[in-house]
Amino acid sequence: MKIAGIVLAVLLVLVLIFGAKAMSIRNELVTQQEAIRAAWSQVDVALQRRADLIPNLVETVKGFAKQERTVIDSVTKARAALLGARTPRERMQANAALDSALGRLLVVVENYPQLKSSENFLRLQDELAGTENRIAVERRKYNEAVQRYNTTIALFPNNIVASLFGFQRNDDYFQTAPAAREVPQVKF
Amino acid sequence: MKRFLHIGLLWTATVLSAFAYDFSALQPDGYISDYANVIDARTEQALERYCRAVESSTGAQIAVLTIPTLHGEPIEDVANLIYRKWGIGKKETDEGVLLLLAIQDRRSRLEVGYGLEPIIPDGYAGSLLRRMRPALKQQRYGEAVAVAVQTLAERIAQRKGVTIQQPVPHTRRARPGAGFPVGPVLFAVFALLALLGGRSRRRGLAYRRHGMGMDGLLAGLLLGNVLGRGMGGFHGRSSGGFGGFDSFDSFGGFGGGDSGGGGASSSW
Repeated sequence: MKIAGIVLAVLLVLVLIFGAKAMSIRNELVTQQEAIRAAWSQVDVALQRRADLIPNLVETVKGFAKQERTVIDSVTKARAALLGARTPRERMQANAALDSALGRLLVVVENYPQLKSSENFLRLQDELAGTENRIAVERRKYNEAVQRYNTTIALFPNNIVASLFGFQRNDDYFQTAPAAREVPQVKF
Repeated sequence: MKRFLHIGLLWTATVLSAFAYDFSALQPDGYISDYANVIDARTEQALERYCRAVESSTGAQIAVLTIPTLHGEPIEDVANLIYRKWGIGKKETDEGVLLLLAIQDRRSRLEVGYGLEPIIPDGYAGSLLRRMRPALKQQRYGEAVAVAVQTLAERIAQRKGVTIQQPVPHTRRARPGAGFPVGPVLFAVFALLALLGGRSRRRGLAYRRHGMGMDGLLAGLLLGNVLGRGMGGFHGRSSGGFGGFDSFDSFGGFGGGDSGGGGASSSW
């Protein structure tokens, strides 16, 4: 009777210790999932910022090169598509489309030396380049957050806790499309 | 055989140190880290004091880094990497800015922390870099940096409604490579020693096989290279007197700030 009591007490202590450890691991995993969500929203902020810049850019280009209707319209359409996209995957696709539309616009701008050298346009170009860089940086940070989570979840003893509470591997990494960094080709 | 191995190792070390470059290993040398050695010591010290005053009055940290080359990396990536590694700006506010000049690539970048993005928008950063161009083209690096830092600081101070209690940095024409050329001098000394050693040995045939001349030369090359690199950051100190140590003591590192890639890049 006495022995059984001791065994029970020891078991209880062990369960308490493991329970506490499991809880702290679970909290860590939840924190990291939140970090991924926060990193994604930063990517989203950068995408939104880019969309916000477009009207200003389009107006400036129109002031010098009204006749370039098709190119200007394609940029406006790509922006609308970006604003309409809902899921992360859709948004990234729309962003890639906007990339190529903007690339074509900047090629056209080469034909307008006055526009190219105006301080207003130069600043807009800085804002645009800055926003593109922000998107790249925030994507990298997002990927880092996802990777950190995936590593944490795979390590012992976290993997036991993770499967116990149903935490799964997250494979929503951003792949940089090789085309995104290429200079658009001019076709005649 | 052993000697060949020795030379081979030395050679590999030299080649590796020349190509594989790890930017994340760069450490801040105060607010102004002049690793390309293009800012004269007096301007650097004045800027160092000025940036300290800027931090105490506005809470924002301004960092300047000059490097000889980007080793083929995009300046945006290098600037963001170093910004986050050094943690410019306080952790809670992220109010920091990094001015990076890559001298041989003729590229410049102003990396702006999250907290200063409303005060220094990308367009403003770009136009500031464009205004630095004429001075940079004439290799007046110290002057270009001083004017840029002052313009930034005054804009930050104005937006925060404070004044900076420190005279504007006095600028002097920067002479390129103004510091003491430690590397080349050491190399010359070792080369001379090696040559002299080789000649004296030639008299006695018994020593000839050892042929230490080449080894000495390589060792000198390597040592000169390593020391030259290591001391590059201290040029302001070694040639500028005591001011450097004073700033070394009171510079407690940056504050853990973060940047999301805001700012602008330019070239000259």
